[in-house]
Amino acid sequence: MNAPERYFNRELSWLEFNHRVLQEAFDPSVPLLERVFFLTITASNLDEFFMVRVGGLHLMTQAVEACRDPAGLLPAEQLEQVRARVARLVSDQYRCLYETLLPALSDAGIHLLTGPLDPAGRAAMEVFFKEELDPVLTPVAVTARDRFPLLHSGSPYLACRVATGPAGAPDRLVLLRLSGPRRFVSLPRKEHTAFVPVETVVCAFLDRLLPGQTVQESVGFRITRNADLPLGEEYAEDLAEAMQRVLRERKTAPCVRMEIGHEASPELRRMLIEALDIAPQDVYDIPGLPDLTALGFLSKLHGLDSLRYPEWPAQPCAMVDPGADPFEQIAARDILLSLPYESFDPVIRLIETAAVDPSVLAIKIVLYRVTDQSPIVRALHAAARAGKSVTAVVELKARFDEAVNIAWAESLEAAGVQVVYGIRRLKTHAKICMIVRRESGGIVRYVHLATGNYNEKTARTYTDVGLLTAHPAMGQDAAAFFHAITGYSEPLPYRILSQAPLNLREHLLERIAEETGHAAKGMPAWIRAKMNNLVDPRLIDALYEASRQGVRIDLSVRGICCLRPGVPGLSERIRVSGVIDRYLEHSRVFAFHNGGEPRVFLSSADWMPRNLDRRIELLVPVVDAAVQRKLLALLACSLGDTRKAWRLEPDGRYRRIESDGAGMRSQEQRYLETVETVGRDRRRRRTVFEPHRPANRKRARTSTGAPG
Amino acid sequence: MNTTALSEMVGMIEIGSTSVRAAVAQRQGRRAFHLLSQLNLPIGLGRDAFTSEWITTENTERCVQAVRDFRDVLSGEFGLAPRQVRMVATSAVREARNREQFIDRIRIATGLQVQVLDEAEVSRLTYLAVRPQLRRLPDFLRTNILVVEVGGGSTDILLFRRGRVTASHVYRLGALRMVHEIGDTTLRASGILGVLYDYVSHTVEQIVAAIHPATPLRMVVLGGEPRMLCNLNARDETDAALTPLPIEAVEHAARTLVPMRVEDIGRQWGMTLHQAETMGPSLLIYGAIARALDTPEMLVSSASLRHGVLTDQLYGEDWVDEFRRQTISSATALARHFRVDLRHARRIAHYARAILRFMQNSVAFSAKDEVILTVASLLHEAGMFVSARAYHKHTHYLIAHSDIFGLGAHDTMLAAYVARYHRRASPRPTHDDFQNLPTEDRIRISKLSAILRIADCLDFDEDAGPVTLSFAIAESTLQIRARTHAPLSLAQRQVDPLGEMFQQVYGLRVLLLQDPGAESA
Repeated sequence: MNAPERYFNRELSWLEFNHRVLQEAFDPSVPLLERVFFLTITASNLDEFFMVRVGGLHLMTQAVEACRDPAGLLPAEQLEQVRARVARLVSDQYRCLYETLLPALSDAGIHLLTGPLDPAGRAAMEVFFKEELDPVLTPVAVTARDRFPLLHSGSPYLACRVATGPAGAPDRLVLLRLSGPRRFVSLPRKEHTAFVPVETVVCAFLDRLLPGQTVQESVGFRITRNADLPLGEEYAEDLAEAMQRVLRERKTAPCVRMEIGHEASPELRRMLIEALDIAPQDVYDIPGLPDLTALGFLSKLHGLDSLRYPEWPAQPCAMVDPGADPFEQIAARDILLSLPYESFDPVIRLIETAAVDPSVLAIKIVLYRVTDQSPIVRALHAAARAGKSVTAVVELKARFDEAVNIAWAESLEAAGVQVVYGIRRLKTHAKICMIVRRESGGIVRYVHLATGNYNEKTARTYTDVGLLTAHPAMGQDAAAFFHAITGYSEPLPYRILSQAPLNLREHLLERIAEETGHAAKGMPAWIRAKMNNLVDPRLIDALYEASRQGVRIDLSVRGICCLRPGVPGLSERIRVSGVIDRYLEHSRVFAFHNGGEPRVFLSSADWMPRNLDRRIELLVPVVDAAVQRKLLALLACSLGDTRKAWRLEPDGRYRRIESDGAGMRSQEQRYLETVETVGRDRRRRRTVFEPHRPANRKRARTSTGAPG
Repeated sequence: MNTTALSEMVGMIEIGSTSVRAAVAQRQGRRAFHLLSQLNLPIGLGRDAFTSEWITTENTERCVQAVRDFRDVLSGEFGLAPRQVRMVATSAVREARNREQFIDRIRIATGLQVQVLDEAEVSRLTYLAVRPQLRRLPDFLRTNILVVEVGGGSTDILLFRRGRVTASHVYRLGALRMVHEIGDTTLRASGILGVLYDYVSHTVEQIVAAIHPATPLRMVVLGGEPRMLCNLNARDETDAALTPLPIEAVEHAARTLVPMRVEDIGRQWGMTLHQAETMGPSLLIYGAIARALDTPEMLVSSASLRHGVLTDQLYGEDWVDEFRRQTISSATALARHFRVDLRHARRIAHYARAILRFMQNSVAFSAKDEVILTVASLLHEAGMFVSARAYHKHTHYLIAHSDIFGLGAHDTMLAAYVARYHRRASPRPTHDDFQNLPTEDRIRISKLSAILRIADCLDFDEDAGPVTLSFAIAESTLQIRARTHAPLSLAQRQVDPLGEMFQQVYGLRVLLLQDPGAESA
């Protein structure tokens, strides 16, 4: 069987993923404001897709020798198919907005004005225009192509075609950037709330902005620039400086997409296409608002809770006693945190405790995406100030978080933290923190290994798992990992961890081969895995072979899946599903039957060449039986979802897994189970009051040995 | 903070031929430790030392940076003070003509002192590293075991016969040295395997000759390459079982790897280029030795020199007696090799130790002095193997050029001089080589030789075992009472001239007396 029959194209598969997210926006069973939010997610996803993936494809088309992807497509062919699929997706997005969401919002009393302002509306916007818009809007007249102003990627603009003289004279282009403090303005109405897009207000006052000029037409548009620019780190003396250069260059990188109102005249299009040097096929007509991400404000409107998901507050982890010493608890047994159902607090608390614990010698951590107010980074500052050896690997190449990470890196360095800006030619994507503590028995290392970042915000919305352990081998490997990525040592063989790009893929291949061998001998064999993306051809081929030999393979793949499941003679024993629900499925958990003694792993890595060859990733074996059971239950739950899961068909289409109405929604199920477990644990735990005693009285008692 | 834990943790840094390494260990149980951390930075000092005998400035500075980094990890991450860290260097630094400048540069830049290990110390540390694993072999005390480590610049062997070290040798045959001497670009030439086997055959023959293979002989190997072949590199158990590796597997791997490009080996085997460079040649040497010894398999140890250094730091004191026994065992094997009358030699050694222990009441001797005196006593007649004429000079040469387990080059030299002066002329100003020795060494040699001279006169009855001696000092005379019926007059006539040196050194005349107890015995 040749390539196209074996693999799906990754770009098209990703677009299918975004399509599935969009279906949440269509789904009437999803609360209305969440549906709006899903729509905005599809828009921001698509923006990033163009910046990175389409940008990359454009660069590949310029290569002297174009390579076919595993699905057998050349870059130009991929681009062509991507364009066609994106056009349909965009059409669906706007259909969803105008035909489904806006009417539903209107029914809920939230009105979004889509047409021009009427005289009353214009009067109502008079003050806003004068005080907030007029001072910041700067019409830029384009007089010659070589003086075309620099347009910001992702910002909406209003393009106005202005007559310059008598009929027949060429028109002039005037551009207005619409990005400001607000993209939507509330319009006072007696009976309901209405919101007006800023461009509608601007259009209503164009006579003031361009006095004495004849505006032939005004159309909203937006461009997207390629963000997949080479860092050139091989030659960079200072990575932070090189990254700053990339950030600057992104502002002037070639356009890979222009979205423009479908009402634009051919003349206006021609002017923009020529000025931006963009291919006509990269221009996408949009039947309305440019930049759907701007609708995100609707999902954040105060009140209206009935239009949102009910609150699912994160539960305290049942394995953690918040009143007890975190080190003692981890030393006693491995602890699994299951986010966002359980709180991320134990991780934050552990690092905060370590920062002030006199027994702690060193803290080492990889920071990939952190918030701008990160309590973890604050704790690292404190630890460094307390004289501990603190090492932070801050990955400057974390796409679109580069600026935040550079700022963090600089502040940490200033505090005395040893900062490493990642590894040359590789992204450090592993999620790991190690605390070295001197205890009565000697040195003990406490390690946190996870599938998600040290980001307390995403910890509330992404499903991730994290393992807290004091397992000596894990500690030794963690130390070796940090020594290697900080340049203190060459990578040394690990005792139990596997690391990309060294041997993570090989380890997975071995596990798959083991199952294949078992099945070939007629023994029971299965593989269950949950990941975000499955792209790697070698792993896919290994899964195909396993399937052929009789291994039952159940995969929960949220996003891209290049594996073609259910094909007779190739993959009939492979089933692929993926859950799209209120939380972003993000945990990577893999399990292998292993002759009846399952081997379970968590990992920072997806099964993609990107992760396995060009990133520093970790594969973590789970040795604790209780933690193993938790993860196997997680896999079973995810794979058993019949309400929010989609099944990948052999033809590449996704279909909802239909249930008879009593289906299981895995995220809800896991949340309810977590609540129940925590409640049960609370009831079981006896209440013990621990009074705060004055320190001197305690000392006096000890010294006298008699109660006071 | 627990200070006990602090004292139970040690660190080491090793400057080797292909890399600079560090390790931290924590005491665990009886004579065992837990390896907390290991670091390794590839730096090709061997390439410098084995080709030009000169460590380049670039590599010196890379070593300085590595040692600085390691020092920071050992102190920052483990709270180790400099006194808890031992830094050693092996053959590459030892063979470099600019080693003194190199050592000074490291000291100035890092504050840490490098100890350049001589070959005997390497053997001793190897012994410490591998012994826990050897003891787990059920037939350790019944069989003969050859421990082999092929390094970048040398091959070290250690021969155990029934649990005793009977030989330790270091040969200038190393994987990196071979690559550079043959030329790494020719490794992929056709017929290269034959060239390499020719290259190693001479040394292999020397090894075979040196150990006088006796069956059954088992071959235990240390070294990164066989460990890599057995996938043992991630293990740190100091007493783990040895892993059997068939010789065919070693030879097959060598044949496969030698002609391969280093980059391809690195990629396929997941190792650094420095590791990849020595993988094929090293396995080829191991295979050639095993084939020559006709052993069907080798037992791969997970231990390394690092384990030896760390054991020495944590438990060195516990091993003093054990080492003395093994050193004497090695000297005895050497004496046997030179067809020394061992019964006589052992009696002399016994008397010499007895005199030394008595003299310890008034003169200071170190524990090492007693070992040197014993070795010199056991081997004092080794020169007879060459010729009976002026045999003490042959003895000096033979000892000085032999490997005696547990004795470094310096100690071996001292033993050679002590044996050389056991008869005939005492040290004189005309003995240029002796006079050129440092004063400290001259004094030690004189003190021990003077004792050996007396001891050699006390072998009253060659057929009997050693007689009991008792000692006393009276009126500037060392009275030695011997519990024997043999007449002492002959012995006294020997003592009179030979005892002059004793009198010069200790200010005591030596008088032999019959022990009254002998009358009644």
